[in-house]
Amino acid sequence: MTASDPESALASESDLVRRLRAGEEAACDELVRSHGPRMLQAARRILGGDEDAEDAVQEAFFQGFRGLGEFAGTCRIGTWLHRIAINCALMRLRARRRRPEASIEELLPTFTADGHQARPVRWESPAAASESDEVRGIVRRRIGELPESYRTVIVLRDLEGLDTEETARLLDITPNAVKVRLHRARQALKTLLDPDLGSVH
Amino acid sequence: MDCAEFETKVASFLYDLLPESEKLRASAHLDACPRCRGILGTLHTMTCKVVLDLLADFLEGELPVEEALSLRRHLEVCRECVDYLESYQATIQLARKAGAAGVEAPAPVPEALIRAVLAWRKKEG
Repeated sequence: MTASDPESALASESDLVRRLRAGEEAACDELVRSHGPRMLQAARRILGGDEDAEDAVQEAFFQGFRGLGEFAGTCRIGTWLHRIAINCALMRLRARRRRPEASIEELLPTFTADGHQARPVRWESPAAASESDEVRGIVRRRIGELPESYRTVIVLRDLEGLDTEETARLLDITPNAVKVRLHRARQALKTLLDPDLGSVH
Repeated sequence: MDCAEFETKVASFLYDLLPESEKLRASAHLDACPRCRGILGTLHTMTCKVVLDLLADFLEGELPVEEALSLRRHLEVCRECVDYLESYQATIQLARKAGAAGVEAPAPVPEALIRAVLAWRKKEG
C-alpha cells in the first residue's frame, strides 16, 4: 500500500483523530504541520497581510481542537479545518475597521448609447494565457486589487474551490447574490487583466 | 425565404450584413410571418450590454432556451462579444489555476504559530 492509497490515507487519518482526542502532543504537531499551510494560504488570500492571517489560523486551530469531539468524520479533517480557517479569516475581515470599499463600477464593461461595447478588447491567445508562472503571478496580484466583497467571492469560489451554497453560507448572503457578485468580480478581473493580456481594437 | 432560412439569417439581417437581394427576400418573409417578426424583436433587445450581463447564466446553461438561442445568434455576428466571451472564460480559468493545488505550493507554517498552538493545547488539556 502506498501513502496515496485512499483507504490507507483514511485509516491513517482516523488514527490521527484518535491520537488527537487522546491528547497526544505529536499528533497535534503533525496536524498543524500538515494542514496549517493550506489554511494559512486561504487566510492570506482572504486577508492579505501575513500577521492577521496567522492569527486567524491560530484561532482556527483553537476552534478545531475545541470542536474535535463534534468532528463526525463525514468529511476529511483537512476539509473541515480549511472551512474553519476560512470562517475565522472572514470574521477578522468583518471586524476590521471598514474603510469605504472602492467601487466596482469603473471595472465593469461600459457601453455606447446604442448598447455596443465602448472599449472592446481582444486577448491574443486567451486559451494559452494561464500557462506561464509570470501570468499566474499577475493574476494573483490583480485579484488582490479587487474591491473586498468581490475579491472574497472570487477567492472562495475560484481559488478555494467552494461551491455556491457554501460560499453563500459563509458570507451570509443568498446563493443568487453569490452568483451576481462572482459574475461582476470576474468581469472586473478581466478588465484589470486587459492591459496585461489584451490589445485594444 | 422560409422560416428555417430566415432564422439562420436573422442576426445578419438585423445588423444589415446581408447582400441586397437576400435582404429583400428576408423583408418579404418578415411581412408575411408574425413568428419571425417576434424572433427579430427578441434579437433586437439582445444588445452587447444584455449579452455581457447574461454571460454567466449563459455559460452555466441557466438561461431560458429562447434567450440562449437569441444570445447565440448575437454571437454569430458580433466579433466583439465573442472576444469578450473568450477572455471572460480565460479569466475564470486563470483564477482557478491561480488557486489550484500544486501550482502555488503553500508555504510552511511559521514555527512560532506551531508553538503557540501546542502551548494552548497543553494548557487547555
